[in-house]
Amino acid sequence: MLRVSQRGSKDVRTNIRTYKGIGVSPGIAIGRALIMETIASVYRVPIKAEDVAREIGRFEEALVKTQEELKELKGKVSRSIGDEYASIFDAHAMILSDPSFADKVLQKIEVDKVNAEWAIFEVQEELEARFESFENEYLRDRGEDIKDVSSSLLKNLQGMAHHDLSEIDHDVVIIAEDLTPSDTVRFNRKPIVGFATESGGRTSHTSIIAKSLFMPAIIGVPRLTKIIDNEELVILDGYEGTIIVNPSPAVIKEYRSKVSRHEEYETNLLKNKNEPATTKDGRRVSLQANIELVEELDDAVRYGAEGIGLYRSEFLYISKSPMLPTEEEHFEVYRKLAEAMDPEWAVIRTFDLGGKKLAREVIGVKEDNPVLGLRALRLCMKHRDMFTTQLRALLRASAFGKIKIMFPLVSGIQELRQVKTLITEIKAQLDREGVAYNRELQIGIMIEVPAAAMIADVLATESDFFAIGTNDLIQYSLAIDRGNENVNYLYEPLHPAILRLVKFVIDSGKKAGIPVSMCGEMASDPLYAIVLLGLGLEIFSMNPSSIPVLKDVLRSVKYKECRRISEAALQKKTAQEIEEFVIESVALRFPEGLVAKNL
Amino acid sequence: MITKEIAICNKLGLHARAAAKLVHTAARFKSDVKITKGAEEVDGKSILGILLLAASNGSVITISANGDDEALALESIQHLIESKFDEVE
Repeated sequence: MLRVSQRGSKDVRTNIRTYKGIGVSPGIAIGRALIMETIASVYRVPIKAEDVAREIGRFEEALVKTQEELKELKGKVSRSIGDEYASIFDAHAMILSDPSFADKVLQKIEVDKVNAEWAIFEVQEELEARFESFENEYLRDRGEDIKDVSSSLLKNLQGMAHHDLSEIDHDVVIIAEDLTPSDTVRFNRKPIVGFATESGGRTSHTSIIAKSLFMPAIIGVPRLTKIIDNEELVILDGYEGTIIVNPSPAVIKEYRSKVSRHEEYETNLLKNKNEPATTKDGRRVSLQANIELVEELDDAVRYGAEGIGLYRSEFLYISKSPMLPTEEEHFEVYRKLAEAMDPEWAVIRTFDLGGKKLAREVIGVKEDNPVLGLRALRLCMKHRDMFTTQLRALLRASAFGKIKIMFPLVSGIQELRQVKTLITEIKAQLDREGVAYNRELQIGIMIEVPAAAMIADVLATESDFFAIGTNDLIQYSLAIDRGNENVNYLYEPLHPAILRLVKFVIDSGKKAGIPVSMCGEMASDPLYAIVLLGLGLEIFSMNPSSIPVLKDVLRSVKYKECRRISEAALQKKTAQEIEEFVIESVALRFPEGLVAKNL
Repeated sequence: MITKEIAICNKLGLHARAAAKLVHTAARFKSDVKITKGAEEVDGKSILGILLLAASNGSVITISANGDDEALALESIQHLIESKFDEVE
């Protein structure tokens, strides 16, 4: 239940504070904080016998209104992001129309003689308690849906219509413990310009929706609703994942100019959309897009991506959860990807589940060390049925256009051979069924485990391509969890060990004649990209919106100079020395490169 | 009235969408449909009731139908469960 908190509105603090979270939807929002309480203040009010009918009338009115809202939300979501997300609201509507829910509420009003709010609250609590007692995780999570549905009901009952907020005459940044997908969809209107939440879990859906709605958002800021007061001015930076409270006028000015500079810069950059990513001395590289939703294909094209370097298929899993996507659902998505980028390729990565991502949901057991546990390819090989469904769909879709398959978290050649055997079996099955697939379908692997990087020469003999995943490669190589604030200062993409590993992977690919791409965040940073270009990287894959900036940078440098910079960088001893050296060299050789870096 | 014991064989058990399919199927018939798991009996036409059974993969439920079209109702529900609610696993 979302309610506007009264707390602290008179006593606005004035000190500047900055908090760090995870930016899940890019953009900058400046507005006054509006804190949403996630727990309703519901009171038990005894009613007289003659008021029972009135109370029932209130409840039924709220019921009808909530059903209408759900219908509207469903339409809105399926229009803006697609049917697959709208099914959440379908489930909610079904629960609302279940007589056993409404009857229990009516019974409480009639028999216990209490107000409708309290009756709903009690029914919700009773149901939730029962769901919480379930052993099965999938089924237990349905309790959240009950909560969401009753919240909407209570809100309508108390006349807290959404247009309350639209009467606010200044921009508002929503601060909440957690937000449901339906909250997020409702926030897509004035005066709300962005949101930040404490919770980092259960928000995957919410984040995806925020991103699709172009609403800057940050998640995972601990105790946020306790440390920010209503009405405090905040700057929410969805690019950096930071929230600045009570910024000085100078900081506000800086951010405002950052916003307009960014808009202007982007407009300018989009002019290079049809230009090739070629350095001044004629080295042609390919800039591709990392996407997680089919809907992002438009973005990829708009920003000038030359293919999809990474499609993260696990979002298909998330969108269907707790169901598994069916073969047809997989197939439809892969077929779209196969057709959309033609004549360019789309690289589809099989489920990268587990680790920190959805481990609990997928394997149902809590691992002590999930990042080193049953995740990605290992998890898929164990859940063979789920994996076979995905692979069958991928093979079938390969007959329709240009897709390649990629496996995450391979650590040795044995794993690659096992998965290839499985593919051979599925191909034989398709042959028996007379189903078409691309017989030349290329199979590649992510290089993100240090062991895989070190035997890249061996892996290159049995893999059709490599994609270096720097986020994991850096974390595993340097033994640091980037999300752990005690050690994240050690997350150094320019660490000599990382540069050596990356160089070895690129060289091994070149020797074996297979393409090597990079699809980690490192590839989209202009400074790092210069080093990577120098190391010989030819395919850079990144979020679509990063492509124009990087293309601009790459078009303004010379490959030969970058190679010299990289060679010298490899001789340095620390990440800091390397970074200083690269910045200095770039400033000296291509001053334009730094403009982009400062953006 | 006729009854039948059936094991839930789809991987995720009677979750929201499977439960919804079951309700849709049961609601097509005039007969009363009850579902029992252990000591708990619920209305086969109520999604909440079915969800609250917490029938995960492998649990055995008893379905009973009572009415003019009870045989067909039971058969349709049995078919739905045995075909794993058309979920691909």
